Amino acid sequence: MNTVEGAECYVIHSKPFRDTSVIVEFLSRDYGRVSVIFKGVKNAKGVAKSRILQPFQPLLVSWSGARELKKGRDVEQSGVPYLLTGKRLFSGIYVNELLMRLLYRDAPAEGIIECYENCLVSLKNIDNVEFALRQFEFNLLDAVGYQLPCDTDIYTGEPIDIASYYRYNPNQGFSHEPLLNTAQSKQSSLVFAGDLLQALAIGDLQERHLRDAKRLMRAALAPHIGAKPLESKKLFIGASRR
Amino acid sequence: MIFSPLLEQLIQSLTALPGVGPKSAQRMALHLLERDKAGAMKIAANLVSAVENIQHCQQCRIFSEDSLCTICKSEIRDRSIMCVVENPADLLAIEMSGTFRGLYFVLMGHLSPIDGIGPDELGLEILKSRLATGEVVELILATGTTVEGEATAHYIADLALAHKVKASRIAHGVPMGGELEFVDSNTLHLAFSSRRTVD
Repeated sequence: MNTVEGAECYVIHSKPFRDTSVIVEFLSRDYGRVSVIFKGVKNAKGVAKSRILQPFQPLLVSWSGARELKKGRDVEQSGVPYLLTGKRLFSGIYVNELLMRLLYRDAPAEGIIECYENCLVSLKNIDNVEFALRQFEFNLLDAVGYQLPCDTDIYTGEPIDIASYYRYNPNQGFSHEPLLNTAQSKQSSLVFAGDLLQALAIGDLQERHLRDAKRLMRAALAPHIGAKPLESKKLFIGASRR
Repeated sequence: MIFSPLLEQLIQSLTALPGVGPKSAQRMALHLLERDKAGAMKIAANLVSAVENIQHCQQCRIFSEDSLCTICKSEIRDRSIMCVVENPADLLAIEMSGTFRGLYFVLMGHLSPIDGIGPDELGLEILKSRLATGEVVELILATGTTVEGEATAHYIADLALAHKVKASRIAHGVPMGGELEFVDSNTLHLAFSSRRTVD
């Protein structure tokens, strides 16, 4: 039997199972996405466990089992939770939904938890959540192996020029687009400025990039998240206050 | 098949109840048939009339056989204050405490985007129209203290604000009769951050 002791994890989703059990999807540092069933945590005795099995809480989890659904043995806190509120909380939920769509069980997980943690830190500290979300989406695609090749033109092999415009070809990369001005790039939803691509690649997004970055990430994520739209986007409608 | 088809069917349908597996379902079925046929008829009749007649209250979404539930119909309750809860069980718990004399709104769940439960599934349109009437002055958000419960509370607080209704969140803290050493660190953190002056 495969037993894992004290794996560093975050809860990305949990759903009740039967009366007192819960099936939890974890993002773990060394094992990627793992599904673990915790039995009897929803009764009076197990309530302490179910209380810490919450998203945005660093955990140490022990489980056993060789099948896809592991059996949870123990869980403890390994740090203070990221207490997100308002729009930051909605963003955190969006990030978790994205992970649920993009991560597969038993797939290599290198770097994913790092970009998740970076994202939580910036969600907590930065005023505009959009910066954190766009950078996370970019880094996540990179970590799961669908990276956007933001540094070279796929046809000519030349480095991206910040003054030119490029067309995004899904699943391939960017190719030079002979455009004259910004107005034209707005018309074509798959054409982006070289300036934006460079900012994403070096992780230096500015206020002026945000609109186009959202458009680009939406196009880049679309083939991977499936036909169903992301439900958490609805939360942001009406959440403009914070 | 050991039992007759009818009995088999009965056992099978009893397993729909929470906490009832095949073994307890079998015990229940045999008990009803052997010892309490009158009781069984009563259960059957009540079950049918309950399922046929009970719907959601048009104002607060709790179960009721009339279009308005007894709380919403009541004339002694304070109509200016409304409490939002996740489940009918939460409503009962608050009623048992006897501290709240206003009206309720029952969401029948909480926002959980990954499970496909968004604002539309929680009847928030009904809540919006209640807020729009201007009758409600304060909305108390008594959703759970889970991440989903918090998200739901924030979402509804935004709705309330858009309708210029004051929104408040129930306090989180140390339980009565509890000793501090047994309280988890997150609850203690919240209890400290929302401490109040002794007067």
